[in-house]
Amino acid sequence: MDLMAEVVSARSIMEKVEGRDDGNNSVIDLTMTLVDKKGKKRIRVMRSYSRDQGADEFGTMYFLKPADVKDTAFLNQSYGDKKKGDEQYLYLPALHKVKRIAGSDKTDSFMGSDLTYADMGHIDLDDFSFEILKEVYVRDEHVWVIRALPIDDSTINETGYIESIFFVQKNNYVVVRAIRKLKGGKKIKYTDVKALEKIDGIWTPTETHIFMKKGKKVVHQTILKNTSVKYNQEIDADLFKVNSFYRGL
Amino acid sequence: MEKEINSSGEVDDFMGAFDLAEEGYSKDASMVKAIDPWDVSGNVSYSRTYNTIKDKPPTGVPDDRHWASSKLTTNLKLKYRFSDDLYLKLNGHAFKDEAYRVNGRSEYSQEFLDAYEEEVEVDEFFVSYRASSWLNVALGKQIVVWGTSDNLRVVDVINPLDNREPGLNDIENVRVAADMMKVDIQLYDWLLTGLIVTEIEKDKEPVLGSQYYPFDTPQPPLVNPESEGKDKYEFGASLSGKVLMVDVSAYYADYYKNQANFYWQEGLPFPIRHLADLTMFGLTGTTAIGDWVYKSELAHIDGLNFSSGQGHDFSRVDLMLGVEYYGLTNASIALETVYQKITDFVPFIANSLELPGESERSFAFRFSGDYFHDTVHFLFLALMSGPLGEDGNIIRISMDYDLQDAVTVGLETAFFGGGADVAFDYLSDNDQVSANMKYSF
Repeated sequence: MDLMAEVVSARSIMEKVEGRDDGNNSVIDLTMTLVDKKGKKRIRVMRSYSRDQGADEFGTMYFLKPADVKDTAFLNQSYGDKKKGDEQYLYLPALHKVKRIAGSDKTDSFMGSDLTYADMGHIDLDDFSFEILKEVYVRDEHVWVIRALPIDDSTINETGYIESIFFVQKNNYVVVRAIRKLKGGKKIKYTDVKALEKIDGIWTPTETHIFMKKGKKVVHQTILKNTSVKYNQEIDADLFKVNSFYRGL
Repeated sequence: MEKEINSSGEVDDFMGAFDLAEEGYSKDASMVKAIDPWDVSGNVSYSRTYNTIKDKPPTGVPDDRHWASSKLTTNLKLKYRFSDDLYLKLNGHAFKDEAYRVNGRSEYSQEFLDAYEEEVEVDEFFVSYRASSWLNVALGKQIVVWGTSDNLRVVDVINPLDNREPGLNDIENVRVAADMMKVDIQLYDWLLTGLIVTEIEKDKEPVLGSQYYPFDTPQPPLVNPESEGKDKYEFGASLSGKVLMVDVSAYYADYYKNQANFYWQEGLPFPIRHLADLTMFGLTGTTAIGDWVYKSELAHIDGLNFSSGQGHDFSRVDLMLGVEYYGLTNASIALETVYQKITDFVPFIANSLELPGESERSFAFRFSGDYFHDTVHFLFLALMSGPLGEDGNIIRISMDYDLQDAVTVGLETAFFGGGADVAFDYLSDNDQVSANMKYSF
């Protein structure tokens, strides 16, 4: 009986994590620094727009740096009606055209970083079983440590993880740390929210470090910094139409 | 072997890793600036190409096997935003190929040097104005790409191509811009586009003396449409939107063919070239299911001319089917095929200088992948003519490595396979390897 209560409790926490207010729309400037095992850094700069429309979510991202991918843009249309699935488009300025792309496999690296497309979206809670392992303090904040196990191989294939540990801050339901074991078992990905700010009333990680370890060695790192965050702005709906890509920012 | 994270006590072992993460990288990360009115970007690249199989040429023909090309190229892009709704865009490129100086400029014709030795050209130069949320007007030298295919063209008829080095031109400079007015009207989720093209351009083609030119004499003179008393404008329209989960577009164009046709003029011992006046109706559809993208294009083209066509116009139907697969990690595969059929084919046009077949097929296969955190980029591209590619093919394999964010080095090899297709057969002597370096800013 106690065990059932614990499972329900872990699940309810994760429901609050997933249901956390992220604004009806947002404009975020991102700087992503990639650091290889020799310490060499590469920098990607992006601007992202997101907008909720009922149960549907739209997101556009423009790549500003480095120069060879400048003006490349990505549009994701995610529908509440799961039968519709997600629709994704990529604007390639060198081709002067917008390409429809597919992406049910979300394990691809995002722009060469340690983030995958699965990391950047919501998780389907029904695809995992959750368990509270313990409660600890992270940077003086009380957190639940919750283990998430995928319920089947298709979830593992879709997300790329065989096991995840989430550190959920109790007072705001933000995942402030994560330890995620990759399929294949040789690499572990660590996510650490270094800076968390309340912006326009919404808790927002403004600096996150993601680092990949193989054995005891850090083989790659990504430092993600939100340099400007604005929520609930008046955002032109045209930004979420493919035609806007030709105009650019 | 890594330890399982399967109990609360063992989590502590993994927690220690967070202490290893370096602090303070954010201090080095560059801040995003507000979008500046001025936007300047571009690249400078150098490539050196070796011809790998060509025999030593006869006396009097330049021996360009070792220095097939030694080219410095720059692309510059400027954009100025007067306001959120009004901007000016200027893109241009320039190149200088030193190979001909090394091989001996006197060995080449001036026509050849004009085409291949150096060039400074404006690629795009236009003003775009969004008059309202549903109306956008762009005026000036522009590139408009129609259709869904990446490698084979069916409905993509507006801008000509730079084919001076067939199959090898960098995609950034492959299209030739034309002066036009472009009007976009957003009708709810549908986009209606109208075009008036005021500059009649044709494909840039290999010239006499080029390794890609199959004849011993120069091309006959080209008669421009105006001197034939034809319209000096081209028109186009497209309508794009979504039906169920399929992206659909319809296209119409009244345009001049981008490749010149031959015709015999009374009293002249040689043929003359002109641009056929064509009309095209086309439909395209694209949808994604799971990891797959399915693409199709269908076009009906009227007004085709052939040198032995006795002045008649002919019609052709083009069908493109394509699939792309995105299920591989950080890689994609694409296969496209085009089937073309002259619907009113008569046997006597088979002897035309354009060498038309009643039906023709072509294929394109592409594998591309980005590896090692997007530092290594691999591409395999095969363009094939004939039912199974036996009429000829071009295969390109390239690998680029990002030394830094701004600096990329790469190696590329191209194989030209001959066959029944005369154009491909002539190219089969041109297998080559090139090394390149690019700095982007």
